[in-house]
Amino acid sequence: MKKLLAITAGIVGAAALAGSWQVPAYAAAKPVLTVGTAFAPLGLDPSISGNGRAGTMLMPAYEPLVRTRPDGTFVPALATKWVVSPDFKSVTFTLRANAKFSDGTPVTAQAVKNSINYWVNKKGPFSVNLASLTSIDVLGPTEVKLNFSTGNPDVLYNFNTYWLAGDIIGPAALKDVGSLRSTTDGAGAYVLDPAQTVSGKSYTYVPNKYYYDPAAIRFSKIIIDVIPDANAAIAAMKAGQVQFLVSDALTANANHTGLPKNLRIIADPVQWVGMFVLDRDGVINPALKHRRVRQALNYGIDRQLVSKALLGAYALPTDQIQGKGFMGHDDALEARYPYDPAKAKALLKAAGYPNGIPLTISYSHDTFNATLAQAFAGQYQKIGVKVTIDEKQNFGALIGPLIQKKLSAIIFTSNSDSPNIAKFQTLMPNGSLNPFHSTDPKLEALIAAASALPSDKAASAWQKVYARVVELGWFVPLAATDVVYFVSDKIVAHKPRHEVVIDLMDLKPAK
Amino acid sequence: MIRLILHRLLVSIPLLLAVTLLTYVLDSFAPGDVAATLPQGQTSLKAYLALRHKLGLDQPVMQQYGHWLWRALHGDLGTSYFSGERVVNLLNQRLGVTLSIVVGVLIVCVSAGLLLGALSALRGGIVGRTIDILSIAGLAFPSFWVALILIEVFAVKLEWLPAIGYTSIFASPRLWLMSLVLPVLAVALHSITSIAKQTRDAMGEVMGRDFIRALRASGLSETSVIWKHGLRNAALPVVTVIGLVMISALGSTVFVERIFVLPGLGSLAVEAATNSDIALLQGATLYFTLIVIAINLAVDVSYGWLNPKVRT
Repeated sequence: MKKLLAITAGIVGAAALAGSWQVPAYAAAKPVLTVGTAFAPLGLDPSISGNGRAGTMLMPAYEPLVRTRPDGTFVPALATKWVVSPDFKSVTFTLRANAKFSDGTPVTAQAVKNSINYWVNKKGPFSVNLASLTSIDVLGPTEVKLNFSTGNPDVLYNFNTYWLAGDIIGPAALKDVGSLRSTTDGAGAYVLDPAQTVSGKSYTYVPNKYYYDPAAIRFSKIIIDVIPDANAAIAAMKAGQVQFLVSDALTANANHTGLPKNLRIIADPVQWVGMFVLDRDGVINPALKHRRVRQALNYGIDRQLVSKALLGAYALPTDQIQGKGFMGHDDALEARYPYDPAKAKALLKAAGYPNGIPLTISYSHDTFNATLAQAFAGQYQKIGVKVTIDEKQNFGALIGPLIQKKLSAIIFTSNSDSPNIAKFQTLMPNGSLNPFHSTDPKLEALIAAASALPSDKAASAWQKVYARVVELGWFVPLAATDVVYFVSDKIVAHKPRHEVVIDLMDLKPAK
Repeated sequence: MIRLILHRLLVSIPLLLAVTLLTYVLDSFAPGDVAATLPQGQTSLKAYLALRHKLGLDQPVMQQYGHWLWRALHGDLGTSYFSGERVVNLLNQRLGVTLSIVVGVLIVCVSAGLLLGALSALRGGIVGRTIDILSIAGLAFPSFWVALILIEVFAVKLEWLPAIGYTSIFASPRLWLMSLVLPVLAVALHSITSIAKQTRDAMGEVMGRDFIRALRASGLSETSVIWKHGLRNAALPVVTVIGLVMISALGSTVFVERIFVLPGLGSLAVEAATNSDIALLQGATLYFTLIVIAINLAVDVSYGWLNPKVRT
């Protein structure tokens, strides 16, 4: 007993002597950046990774070919120069001569070709963006040309931090692609340190000694912690353990009051959230093939109420899929589906469903999606739509049955990025979020017309595209939602806009 | 004593088989399909079916279990479907965290529980009533709520301890200790009173026995009578409770590791179950079962040490 008491007293005493929580001494020279996120990646392979917030773990280690700035312009990254052909069917990148992967291997045109080919052939979630890629020509040691069968005025977007095709993977990893699940081989400012990493929990990145711009390495280490519990994440921010938290509108709305002075929220409505009606041909749910039914679903949701109650100031209610300030957005469309349950019921009746319809809404498990699904279910009850909620345990578990055409509607968040890239996910017949390959001749013609125009002349054409989408009722948008970050005063960060997410490489220590 | 240990270990083998089999069967009933969740199974129906075949998921459950068991008997727990890493490596990487919590809970619960229990038995009065109140409070306040309160007070307001995270003892013993204080307290507070109450009841009964009076009459010091003879004789039921508390603490690691973002076995098991990563889930279940067996064995050995009659 005495020994036991002595041991306990020793431990308690040691803890007391240890004093307050401090940053370890080894981080004294340059600060350590600790990032919190709720998303645990399934792996670290850029070809099959999620993007945006789900792609956070790739940012320190993989340098893209180009970076997008908040105003929509592009700046050099691995590529110092690029030329897009007048018909938008090719793009030629000139690589910086001193770029190297984290193992010291030079970044060459051949390496870029191999990486992009791997990315496309892996058929990951965004490979459809480069479906029209026909060939890659190595023009010299640092010059590479990509050729496409169809033109894309916004082709450069594919190679930025957000869309991942430009995250060039080193030759060593391409010889052993299995290694990409738990290690990195990029030319970014940092490299994953597997010894300090616990998969699914905490990822530690140390500086890449071969990085071409040592001045851009502003932190001695970047640690990305997976914090699934929002309360614990906010507490960690308040305690100063996490300096940058990748969050969401729901959490921001619940926590924005009473934040300590050393914390702030950075947010911008560059995304939109709502229900994707996938089964537009009525394969699983015959009612959904009727446009009037899909329009009824749009009339049957009180966007103002739901958005304000759940997301507050971090969302703008909308019934279109392109946010304000992004190409194709049209203020006039906001009046298309005012909340009108009587009209919704009338449309259902006119479509042959006077007693309402059953509807299964699926989503990938997280608090944000679950709350929205419940809100949709509650709203639809009033118009006779009986909702069955179908929660999938994670993103992968949602995408699998989605591709296999087993889901009729999902709660999902998309972004208001370039229409020329977003179309590959949401609108095109082979879109990654169009599993039933829904088509509409009029819509396709409008998309073709808009896609052929240079970006500075395409706004009106894209407005027509999105007006048609709203008319078809393929989606039930709820709100343009903010991407949300909690930031400590130890960090300098800018608001995201056209780059959609904040690149960790843009964060700087506060002076 | 060796016979006792061998006997207990032999009895544990059916337990191991039953638990791992049950995990396999229950997982087969759970919704979700790992082949549909993995990126390589999502490109087409053909790719999905090929992946199911490759992973052996198209075989009957008992056949799958048989294959797993055969490999496990040869020391191979397989590889994680998601990370591609060897299951043994993933588990060993996280074992230290969970053991640190469990051992921490053991130290705090036993030292505080025995001390409070003994004091309550000997002094009664306010200590006893306080323990009763705390017992009810301990049951009323769920551990996850206690954890959030502890974080708010000791990490956010006072800034004494980290809110989240874990530091390996090899990286920094001081930071390791500090990273464990709040998680251990969150689990231990619930259990200290259980041990204290059991100790109080057992001590109260033992201290009234004739041999205690005889020891006092023989001139032994009161300290020796209480701590050496009284507590040892009262310890048998207390040890049983300690064993149960430890097993309960092991279960609590699941939520503690989630709230405090600790890379332990509990959170790994949750991730494996969520992802339908059966190879990893089986490995985690095996490790948890082995720890429970070790705790039970320690309890049995303690019985033998405390009461020689049990050794035979």
